[in-house]
Amino acid sequence: MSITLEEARESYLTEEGTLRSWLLTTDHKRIALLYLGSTTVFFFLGGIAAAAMRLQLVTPNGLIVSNETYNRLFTGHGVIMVWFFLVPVVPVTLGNFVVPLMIGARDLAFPRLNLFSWYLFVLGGLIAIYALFAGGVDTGWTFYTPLSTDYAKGHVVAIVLGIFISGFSSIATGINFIVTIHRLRAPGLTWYRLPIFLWSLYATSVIYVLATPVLAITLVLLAFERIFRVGVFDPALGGDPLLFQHMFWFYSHPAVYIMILPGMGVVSEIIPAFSGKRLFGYHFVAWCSVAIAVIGFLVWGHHMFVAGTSVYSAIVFSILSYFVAVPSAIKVFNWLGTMHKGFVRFDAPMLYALGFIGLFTMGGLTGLFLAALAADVHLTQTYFVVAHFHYIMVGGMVSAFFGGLHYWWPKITGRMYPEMWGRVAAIMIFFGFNLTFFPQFILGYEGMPRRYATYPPQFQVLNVLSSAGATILAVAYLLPLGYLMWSLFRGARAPANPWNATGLEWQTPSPPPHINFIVTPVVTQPPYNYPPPEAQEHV
Amino acid sequence: MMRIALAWIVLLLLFLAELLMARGRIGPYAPLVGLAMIAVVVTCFMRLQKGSPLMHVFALAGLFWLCLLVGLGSVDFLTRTDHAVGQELAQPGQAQP
Amino acid sequence: MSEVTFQYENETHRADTAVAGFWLFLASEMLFFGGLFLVWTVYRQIHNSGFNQASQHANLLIGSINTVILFTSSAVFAAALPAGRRGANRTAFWLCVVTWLLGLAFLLLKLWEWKTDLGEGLFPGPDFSITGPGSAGAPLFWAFYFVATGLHGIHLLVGLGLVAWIALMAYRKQLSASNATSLEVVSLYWAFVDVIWLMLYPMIYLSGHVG
Repeated sequence: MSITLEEARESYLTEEGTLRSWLLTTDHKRIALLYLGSTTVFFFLGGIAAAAMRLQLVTPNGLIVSNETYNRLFTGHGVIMVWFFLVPVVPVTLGNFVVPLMIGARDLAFPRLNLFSWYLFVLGGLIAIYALFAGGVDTGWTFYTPLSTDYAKGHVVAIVLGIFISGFSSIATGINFIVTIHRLRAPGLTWYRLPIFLWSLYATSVIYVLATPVLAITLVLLAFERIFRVGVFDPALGGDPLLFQHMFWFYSHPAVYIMILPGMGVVSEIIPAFSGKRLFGYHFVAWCSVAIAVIGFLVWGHHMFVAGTSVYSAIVFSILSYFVAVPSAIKVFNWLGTMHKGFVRFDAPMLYALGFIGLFTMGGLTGLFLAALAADVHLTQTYFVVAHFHYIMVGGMVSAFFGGLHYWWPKITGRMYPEMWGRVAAIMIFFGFNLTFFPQFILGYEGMPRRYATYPPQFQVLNVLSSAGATILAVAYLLPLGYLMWSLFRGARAPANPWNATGLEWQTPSPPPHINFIVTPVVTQPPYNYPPPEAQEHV
Repeated sequence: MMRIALAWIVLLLLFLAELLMARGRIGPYAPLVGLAMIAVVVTCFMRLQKGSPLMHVFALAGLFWLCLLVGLGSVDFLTRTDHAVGQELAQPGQAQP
Repeated sequence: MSEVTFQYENETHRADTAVAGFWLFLASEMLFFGGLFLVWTVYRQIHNSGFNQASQHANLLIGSINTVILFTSSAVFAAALPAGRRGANRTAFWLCVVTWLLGLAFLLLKLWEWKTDLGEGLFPGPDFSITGPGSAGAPLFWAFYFVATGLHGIHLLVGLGLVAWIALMAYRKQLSASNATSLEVVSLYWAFVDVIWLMLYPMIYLSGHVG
């Protein structure tokens, strides 16, 4: 396919700007932006629910809503944040944009499937939002039976349908990434020359493809039971509600690795770039991504330690849960090893990455408490669990997403964001986050249960601290929305490689032309090919 | 063409065997014949073995993960010492560990 | 298509990629039905007697006829692939038509079977007809039955649409050695629908006839 130099100089943003050209695009870069817009909307919707929850919990008797409404709030918060933000966000925004660039291709393997996946996502999301605004759902995002099938009054079938549809969006994205990484690598780009972001997205995609269908069938069975008032989880018929939990968590535990692996991939890109140093232990980091994905499928029973499973099954899942921590820990040490004796620059992406390392490690270590059977009896269903997963999901994953967004912002938009504001937001997020969630570890340890709209008065001080932190966090999340939008109009024009980073995506203009590369790149160097520290001249 | 016709005859024979087995004393093994029928479809109609190694990886991964789901998912139910609602042969004297 | 072909070394590379991607999708389908398989496996073990009794009420005749119909249609459509690759569009067209009719026959028989099942009081609920000693868990079997055969039926219906689409391509003489990827993908899908049924058949119809 031949192309003139003029055509090549047009970026994917400036060529044809009609609404039709955006809504019917098959360009992975435009699709990434479509996804960015929709996931941002969901993030703020979920955030509003969280804000309402934290406001409610300022006083022991609850400040603003009834118990029933509170149940709907935490369900809405969970459903939106899990399925419509965390599960898709990094792969479909940063991944969609960067994968073909990193691999030296002109698009993903199945561009039309990519566009279709966005429409599925939006459709699922609209149905879920309808369910939430038409009166809501109060079962928790985990939909345990028999509450969800027999007793809950709410739009369970609708919200489950929305999730079901969006699941196919995930599967489509997963298939696209796996096939692309296998088949469309540029000449010379062997597996061990791939950036870690691609290894992470590959591992994530394996989970997308193999875990999501189990959620799909579980939700079908749930809907069947709710609609027909009979089903396979119904104890009155001899059924076992725990079967629902097994099937639900078979997906939902790997789902948390869907959420964190891409974030780890982003951090693995940022740390070498801002340390000016080769990633330490590349092979370990690559295979640990795979290990996390595989072992992650084997630990789901740790969500059910007090549910009534056999104690032998609980022991097996507890042991396996300890194993899954190992590859994550290996990665943390490798990131630290990368920074050691590197020339570290504290630009915004790096601040986010450093925040990730600290907060993810906290979250991960506290997971080990929960994986121990005896400790879990005391800690389960308390705020300890809530703090644990928010440290990983929000402290870790959202920080990584923001880091990646800032890191690739120049490539995506052709503009630099204002660095000072970037750093302010990153630091504010770190402090606001800790103030919000650290008190929750203590609350949980002291016995405050989760999913309650009111609490005993002795917990008030810590709750107020947590809510205060949430206010800071809310402002901190609004800041990037503001200055990133501002940068679209007034930001400095970005060069092709503003960070002097390695990687094929930096070899093409910012923003890239529609076809990404005018000439197919050929790769001859190992990944993260920074000169050794002694050879670098430091300012 | 011959391959497909032959495969169809094999399927028919396997199917009859499956039916007969189910009625006979080796009934519990009838589903294994079902697996054999599936193998015929996968090799003779879907021609998996003629595909690229990548296809083999994908198909085997699906099968492997399916075994994980059913295998590890059954561990709980196989090791329970209480008894499900509805089964009349509950043993009241059984001690809990 | 030109947007896509530039990334591939050659046409074979592109066709192989599409087929490989489809196998990955089939892997996800294995897990989808796999969830049902888990449900059946668990309850079969817990409620062995109830499942045996429940399965005896399944219509073995219709189930068996349907099994033969479906693997026959699988064979027929598998023959359409080499025909399409040869460019023998007329042959391929008629093979598609026969496949489609066999698939339709399956669905109609299935609907008839459901009608008789419902008439016999086999839908779980207050009017469930299998009661008495050893029948605990029988409603679970029948709940599983309706969900599993329903989902399989939906997949078959989608398959009918896909086969019709290929028949249309054959009618328009569009199939050839370089344009057979859609046909290959649909034939994989159709065979997979058959594979699922071959799993479901002994689970549903042969659980109770164990001698």
